[in-house]
Amino acid sequence: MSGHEGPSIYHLLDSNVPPKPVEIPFVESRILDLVHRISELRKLEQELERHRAILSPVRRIPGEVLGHIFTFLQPFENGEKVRTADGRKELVGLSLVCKLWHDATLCTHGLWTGLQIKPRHTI
Amino acid sequence: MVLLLTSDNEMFSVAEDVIKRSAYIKNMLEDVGESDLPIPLPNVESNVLVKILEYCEHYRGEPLPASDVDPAEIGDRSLDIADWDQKYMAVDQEMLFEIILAANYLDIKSLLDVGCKTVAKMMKGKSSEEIRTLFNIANDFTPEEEAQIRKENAWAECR
Repeated sequence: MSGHEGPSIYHLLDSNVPPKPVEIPFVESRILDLVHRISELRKLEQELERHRAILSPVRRIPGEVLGHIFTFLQPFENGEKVRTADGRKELVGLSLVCKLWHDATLCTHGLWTGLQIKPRHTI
Repeated sequence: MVLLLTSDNEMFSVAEDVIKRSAYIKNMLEDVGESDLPIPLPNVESNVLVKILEYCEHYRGEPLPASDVDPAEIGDRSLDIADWDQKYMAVDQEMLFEIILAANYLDIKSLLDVGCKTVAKMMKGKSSEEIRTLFNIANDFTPEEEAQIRKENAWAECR
């Protein structure tokens, strides 16, 4: 309930009768009230997810294990590590996830080998 | 038989050749010798240990992988996962990370690799934002810090 005094509009919910002009502001007010409450619930839902994340085991994964996971994304060509532009972009993307992941990418030296860089200018 | 005591005080009696896939337990048994006392596993809950034992039981009798060989050095970094391992890893995200944590703690290299590969496959081709959403990770960078990292790594964007 919106708490506003006014004509009852419940009979309109289960019928196809058009509202009387006097009822329209109360229907509009009720719509605004429901939209507001849904928006509040969405905020609560986000808050709930943030709290669940605190207990998520992903937070307990040590840096060296994260680095181990990242090494499986290392592209290989003919058995050799080759990190082309797309591979380098992916590596930077991993380092931008959060501070822990940033540190894990920097501390996993194997990720930074096999970088394939084409010179911009030739001599 | 080897007795294992989980963090939630559940006792497991496991065949020695099954649990020896864990280098941590194998070394402990070799160091301590035969004992009736349970081995406490303060970092592993019973529901996770059940899952770990399922893996060890499945690979019972298979040769243990050489611990001194780094797959990165022999180019074995494909994201291919054996069929049974894929089904085994078809668990919710929380259990997946619990398995990885337990495999790391118990030093079961092959299981750690399968877990890490599974997570790597989930991340493959995703942006930072998509990975944060996937694993419910908070972005703890300030906009300035993020800009600085992008600036430092601008070279990586070059073709």
